Amino acid sequence: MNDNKKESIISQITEKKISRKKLISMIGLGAFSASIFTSLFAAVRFLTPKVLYEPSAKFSAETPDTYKVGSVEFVSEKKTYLVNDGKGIYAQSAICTHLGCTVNWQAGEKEYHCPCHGSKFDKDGKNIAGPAPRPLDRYHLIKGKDGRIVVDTGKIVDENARLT
Amino acid sequence: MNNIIEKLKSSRLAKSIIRHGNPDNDLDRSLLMNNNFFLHLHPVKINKHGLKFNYTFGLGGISFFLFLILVITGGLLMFYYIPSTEKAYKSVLDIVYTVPYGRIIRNMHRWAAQGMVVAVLLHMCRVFFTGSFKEPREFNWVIGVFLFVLTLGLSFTGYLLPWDQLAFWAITVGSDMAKGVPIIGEEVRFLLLGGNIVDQNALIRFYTLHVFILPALAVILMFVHFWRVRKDGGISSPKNTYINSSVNTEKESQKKTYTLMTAPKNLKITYGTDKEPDELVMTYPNLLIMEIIAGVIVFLLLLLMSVYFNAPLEELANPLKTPNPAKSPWYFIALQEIVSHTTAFWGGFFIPAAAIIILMAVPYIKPDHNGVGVWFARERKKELIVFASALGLAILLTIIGQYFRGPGWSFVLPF
Ligand code: HEM
Ligand code: FES
Repeated sequence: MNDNKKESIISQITEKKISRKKLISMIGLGAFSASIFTSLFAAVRFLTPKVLYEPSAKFSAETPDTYKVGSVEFVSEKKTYLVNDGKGIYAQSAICTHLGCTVNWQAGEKEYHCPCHGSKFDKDGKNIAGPAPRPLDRYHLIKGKDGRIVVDTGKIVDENARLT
Repeated sequence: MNNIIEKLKSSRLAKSIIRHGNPDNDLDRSLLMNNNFFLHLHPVKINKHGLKFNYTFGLGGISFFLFLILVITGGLLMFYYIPSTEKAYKSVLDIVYTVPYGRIIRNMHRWAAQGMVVAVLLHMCRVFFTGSFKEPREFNWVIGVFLFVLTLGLSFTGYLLPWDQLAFWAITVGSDMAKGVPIIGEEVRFLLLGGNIVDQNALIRFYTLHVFILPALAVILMFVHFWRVRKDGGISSPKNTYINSSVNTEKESQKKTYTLMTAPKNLKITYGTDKEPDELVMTYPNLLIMEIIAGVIVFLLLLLMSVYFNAPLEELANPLKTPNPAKSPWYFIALQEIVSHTTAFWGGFFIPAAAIIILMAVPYIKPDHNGVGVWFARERKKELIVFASALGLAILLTIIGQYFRGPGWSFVLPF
């Protein structure tokens, strides 16, 4: 059988046969890719825990009268400053908005300074120097049933929120 | 005495293990390289040019040797180290102060890790400056870049394990840089840490990556890397270079079945050149002796260093107190220096990602065959200057970050 004849036989078998073959191989390939992708998805999902044993986002501070006008109190284990600026009390995050180091209150300069890359924030938490891209976060706070302030570090509020 | 050795050598047991004669003739030398599982990483014969020490400086081999030391010392450390936030630091203290030779094993692991970063970097420079990444070795260069990233990843994940102040804050700053990834930055960081903060989940993740996943990937890629060095015709040289020939040897060889085994890519290469093929010499003893000497010297230096210099260990990690300044490990300090002037997007995502992509693209940017196998070839002047400047800039940033940065990342003099 020479090459020409072979070719004509193949074309006689016609597209129908080829397309069925193609269809089956496409189904096979599709199923294979689908199984790969679902496995990958499951792997990524597996690596994303649902329940975390991290410290709770909420914590109780002292009663509001503890925080006198002009005071800046640091709750170090929660990385939060409780500040009374005269207009009321707010909870200021101590987590630098650059890369997450803990900022320190400089009572003399009335500024927050970050030890990692030198960002500075003014007394309201506004970024005034260094690489920090935005002001320090403010956390939601309410007065709890026992009279103490409850801060929720999971909820970020705007800069005008105060507990008065 | 000699008699006994001869008897042992010709015993059935010995012959069942080693199936060739004394390697004092070329046939047995070939069999030694070919039949030994470990040695058959090497070809039986190699070209003379690649054997010159001042051509490769043995840097790839030294990187691999340091990796082996890391596997062994790391395996020993695993007998005592406990990946828990409560016990990790104590177990490292135990290794240093109570476990016999624990201090030296830990030091060796630390110094070999840093040495490997240096060796891999220098190896990359050697490959670049000798033009060895050019056709047909382009893809092996790409594999090399993956190995470089893996080497850094291994060092970075190992950094957290002692759970001291240095570890905790370097990883806090380092993982926050992941937030620089656009759109999914938070998610990437969450996945890396297994939570929102550097805590138990992060420690066990880094541990698993450090002792299993990254080393396994590195081993696989290293063997592909070595395999391709051989398939690409051995170490590059000016003679053994690729020139497109009119003789289509690949088509020719398809007619013969035996060439599947006997004609790896290098035959095509030597056929296709108008120059003489390189002179070949036996791998045993020429290369093997050099490898053993290099290995012994590296090992002795490492041992000396480990006896006299202790790997740093600060106080227990304290999430409440950021040390001032908080520095990342030295091989990331150029990035930290960039980050200290910009946002996480630039230093944590854009610049490293761009650097890796550009590095991988290097062999594909200008597909010529200029100056392969020669250090600092004249005709490659421009490429050399660009690469050297980028390298110089990285070194400069590293030096500034490492020695000229004090509290609050302010500029200070180192003395
Ligand atoms: C884990 C890290 C690495 C190991 C263990 C390793 C090992 C080796 C070894 C043993 C060789 C044989 C020649 C020599 O010793 O110089 C080699 C060659 C080569 N390596 Fe690597 N390497 C590593 C990383 C890299 C990197 C980061 C690059 C580049 C980005 C790279 C690119 C190459 C290329 C292109 C060759 C062929 C060079 C030639 O033919 O002259 N390797 N490598
Ligand atoms: S983390 Fe505060 S300046 Fe970088």
